[in-house]
Amino acid sequence: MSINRYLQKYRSALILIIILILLPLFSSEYIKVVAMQIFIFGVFAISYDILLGYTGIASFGHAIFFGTGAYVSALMMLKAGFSFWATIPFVVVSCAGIGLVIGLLTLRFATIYFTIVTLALGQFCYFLLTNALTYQYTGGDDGLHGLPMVLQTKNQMYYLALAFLLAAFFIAKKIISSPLGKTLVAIRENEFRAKMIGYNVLNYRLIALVISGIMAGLAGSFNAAMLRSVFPGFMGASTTIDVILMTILGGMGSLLGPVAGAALVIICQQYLSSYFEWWLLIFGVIFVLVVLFLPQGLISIVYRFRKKNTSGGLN
Amino acid sequence: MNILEMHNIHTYMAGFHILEGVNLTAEHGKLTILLGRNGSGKTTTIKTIMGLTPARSGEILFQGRPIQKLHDFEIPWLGISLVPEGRDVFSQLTVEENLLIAVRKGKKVPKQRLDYIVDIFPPMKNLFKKKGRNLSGGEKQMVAVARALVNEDKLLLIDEPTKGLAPIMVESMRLALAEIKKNATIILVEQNFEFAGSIADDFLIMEHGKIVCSGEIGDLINNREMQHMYLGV
Repeated sequence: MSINRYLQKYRSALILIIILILLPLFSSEYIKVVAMQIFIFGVFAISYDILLGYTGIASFGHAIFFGTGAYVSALMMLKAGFSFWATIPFVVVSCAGIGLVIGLLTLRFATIYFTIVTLALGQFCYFLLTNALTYQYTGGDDGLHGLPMVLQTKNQMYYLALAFLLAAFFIAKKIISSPLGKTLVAIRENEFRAKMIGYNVLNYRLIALVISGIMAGLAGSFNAAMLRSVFPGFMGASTTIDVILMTILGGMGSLLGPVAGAALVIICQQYLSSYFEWWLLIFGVIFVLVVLFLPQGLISIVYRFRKKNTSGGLN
Repeated sequence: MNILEMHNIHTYMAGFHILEGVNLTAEHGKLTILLGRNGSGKTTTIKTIMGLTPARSGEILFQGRPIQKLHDFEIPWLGISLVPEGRDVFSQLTVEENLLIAVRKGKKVPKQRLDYIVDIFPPMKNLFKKKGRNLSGGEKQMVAVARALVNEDKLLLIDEPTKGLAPIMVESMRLALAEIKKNATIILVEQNFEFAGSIADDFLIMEHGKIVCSGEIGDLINNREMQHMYLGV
């Protein structure tokens, strides 16, 4: 593809990236923090989209990975004196390991039983963090605080979070466009048919869970580095519900949609809660409206706009 | 020489005894048609061969090797392909991706295989970039059969390929199957006796989960009484 065609094809994306690069120059500290949260939760939502949107596995315990990533990084930095970057391989290995164990135990069901078992495992992990026996390591309900700074300024952290989102997006896009990604879509669409052409469905679901778990763990780790604290809530059911909302509101099976969903949920959480005591009620109405009028999520607005501009009514 | 043999196969589904001692042989290089009324166990027979509804007892031999204990996803690797009833084309994938995903060795459909497929189904060459969900019923059936051809499999199990197709598509499917059977053994489940009779070499008739009659297709074509008794023709 020539540079001109490339620029034309990805014009909107490039404009958006340039705006995001310039954003810290004219925004307040608060907006930077909100944007960083959107970037990090955007990665978390992309990871869930690989699982739910592309592979068709509904997990209610996805926060296990997010919390594991956060706590592994925090513990290694605070208790063992590792730098943030040195903790990353451990986050990857631990999340991959947990993904393998959960997958081997539960993925053969891949139905409502899988969803229930992951919900139970999520709650188990949450109580493990808040248990008196683990208090000295995890800080119990208070969590762990005072993590060393990864970078010196907010702007640097902002660009790191943005780079993290872009890298995660492009890696996820590569995976989804690869034969592996096509196989996951095929399994989601028709598990029976995928078996009939010789695919070991369980193995592929396991691969999807491990990739998704690693990505979610890294998001948790970056979230810990950004906040310089970790809380048991990172592993709680509410974090899982947040990521499910982000993915569904944004649009499953689109990668970009969950990032838009993360932006909507976090902006609502940050701004609506400042102005309205009953903000969850308003958020609930927004959720119902999106589901009713945009069943394929926020991203469907972009698709409709693009179709209108490119097809000229012929397609 | 028999490519496939089933000996005294019993299969149960949801507690019901569906196959009640099926004995079946398919000769190498022939097109064997599996006939029978609705609910006689034809589809269950090919699902049992593929391991989808595993046999509770009996033996299935493919090229002399027992396969009834293999996992369902291992069976296609032996060189057996199933074209299921209802086509089951992946609607989110393009036709090209539908073919690619079925390739077992390598990353793309070998050139000569692709040419072979396009020779058999000439309209396919204009469909490669089309998504599965945008195909007509006839196009979906073509893709479903084409997908079974990408690997040079030795045995093709095809379940009711003419169901719901317009007469012109039925005729092109007949020509396609006549071409395919030059290079592969086929077991075809079919209700359309006229279609089946025109391309088959051998026949098997099922009733109540058993093979009740078998032989060369000519014998069945010439025996009106048998057609009426078992097939209601």
